Amino acid sequence: MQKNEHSFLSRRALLKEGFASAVSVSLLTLPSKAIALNLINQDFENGTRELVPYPQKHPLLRITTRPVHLETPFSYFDQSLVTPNKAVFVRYHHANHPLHIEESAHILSIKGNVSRPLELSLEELKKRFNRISLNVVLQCAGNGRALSFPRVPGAQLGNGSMACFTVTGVRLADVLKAAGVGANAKQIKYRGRDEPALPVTPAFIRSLEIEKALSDDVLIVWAMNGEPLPMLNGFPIRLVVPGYFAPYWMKHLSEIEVINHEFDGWFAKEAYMVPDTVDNGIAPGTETKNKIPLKKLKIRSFITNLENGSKIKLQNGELTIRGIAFDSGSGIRAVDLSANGGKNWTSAKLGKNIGNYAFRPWTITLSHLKNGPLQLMARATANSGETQPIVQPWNPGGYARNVIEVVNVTLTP
Amino acid sequence: MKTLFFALLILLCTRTVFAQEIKLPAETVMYPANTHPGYVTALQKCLICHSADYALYQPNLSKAAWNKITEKMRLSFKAPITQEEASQVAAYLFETQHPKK
Repeated sequence: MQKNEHSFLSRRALLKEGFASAVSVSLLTLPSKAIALNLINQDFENGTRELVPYPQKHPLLRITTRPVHLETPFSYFDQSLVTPNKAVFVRYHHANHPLHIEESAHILSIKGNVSRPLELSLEELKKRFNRISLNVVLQCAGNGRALSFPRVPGAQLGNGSMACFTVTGVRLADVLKAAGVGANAKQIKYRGRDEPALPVTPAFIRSLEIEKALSDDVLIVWAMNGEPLPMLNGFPIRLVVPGYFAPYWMKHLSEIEVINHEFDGWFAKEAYMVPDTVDNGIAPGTETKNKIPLKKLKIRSFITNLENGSKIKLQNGELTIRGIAFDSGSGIRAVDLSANGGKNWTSAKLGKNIGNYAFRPWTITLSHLKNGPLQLMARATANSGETQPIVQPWNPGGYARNVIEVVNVTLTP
Repeated sequence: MKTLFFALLILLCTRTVFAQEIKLPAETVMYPANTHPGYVTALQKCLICHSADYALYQPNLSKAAWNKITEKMRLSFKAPITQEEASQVAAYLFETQHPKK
């Protein structure tokens, strides 16, 4: 890691009081004076990024400035199972995302093929429907894209565009039922309050099959880890589709339309598509013939306490390795660890299960180790039987990476 | 009636209105200046919708790959540029990544 001095960084986050409010709280006061500019060198070409403190956020890796795209430095995943709100990654598609929202003025419209169109404030959502809390993993579809080989264009992400947190809200199904979903409903088409810089650019509008929309676990949430959603994570409400990649989790959710056809907007038909093959991979460098939307998370596991390339002081020939694993919701059955390039695997001990959609912690202690290089690999297996590939299937979007990650360390006396 | 009116007034006045407002940090990455015609277009057109780091943080890409990207900006995202401008921007970005020695 390199450090440089710079003097332009100045930021503040604040809660603005409303017209009749007695509340005026400084949510997060970062020094408004000059602060050091941190640069992080990642393990890929052209991978140096700034660590920048954003409003309501710890310093995060700046992937792009406008629209805002921030990645969580990987070390956070070793500090706690639940990712603090201030560390959760941020990704927008269009530059005109909201910077000021008054909670009481935000309305969610439910329209289209429904018998009772609804205009719901957050207060009404809270009053009318049963409250649900759930531990969930949010992961960017392109998490790990920069590790694709050959490299692919797009936001160059390491593996930190994921998070695990507790959401609180109501079931989308309950809201849709209150609106009365009409016969022949096929999908919901939905959007939030972010807009493209130019009105001619396709807006970020997504769709979801009606069966999924009416399932129990899809939520409209207003809280992350018991706090209001940070602005950059979708204040005041966000759609949460556990087990699905982040593009389904609409921030600043403002409109849901029940439709009788398949939505054909750009972000439904062209974005977040993967090859229609068994492992969504094709020969590297070739073009996709048939594409399908990327929906469900693929099983992944990570070693969190050892950094690739690091030197570790060996004590009594023992090394404790810990990490996390998750899948799309069947839950983690096992995590195995190899210390010899995948020849032999040993079961790790699974930690507390805080929900099948959440990170599952694991740990293992290796003994009788000798000084020198050590190659470590963690492989998770889900209750569904899904496991991780030893070679990453390649796709042109660099989506859904879930290869068995390798961590090389050197043990020293 | 009067009591109800005042009760409502008090309720309205004491209700906490919660809002969030944030300010974003400044952009720090800019397209490198040179004499390529695509440079001016990048400044004038690309920056309308996104910061320069969108392009400058990309891995080394072929000229064809850059063309595909600028055509996607023009055709899918409706960037207000001509095909010629798009190809000039692609050439500029390719040259920025592969400076002539």
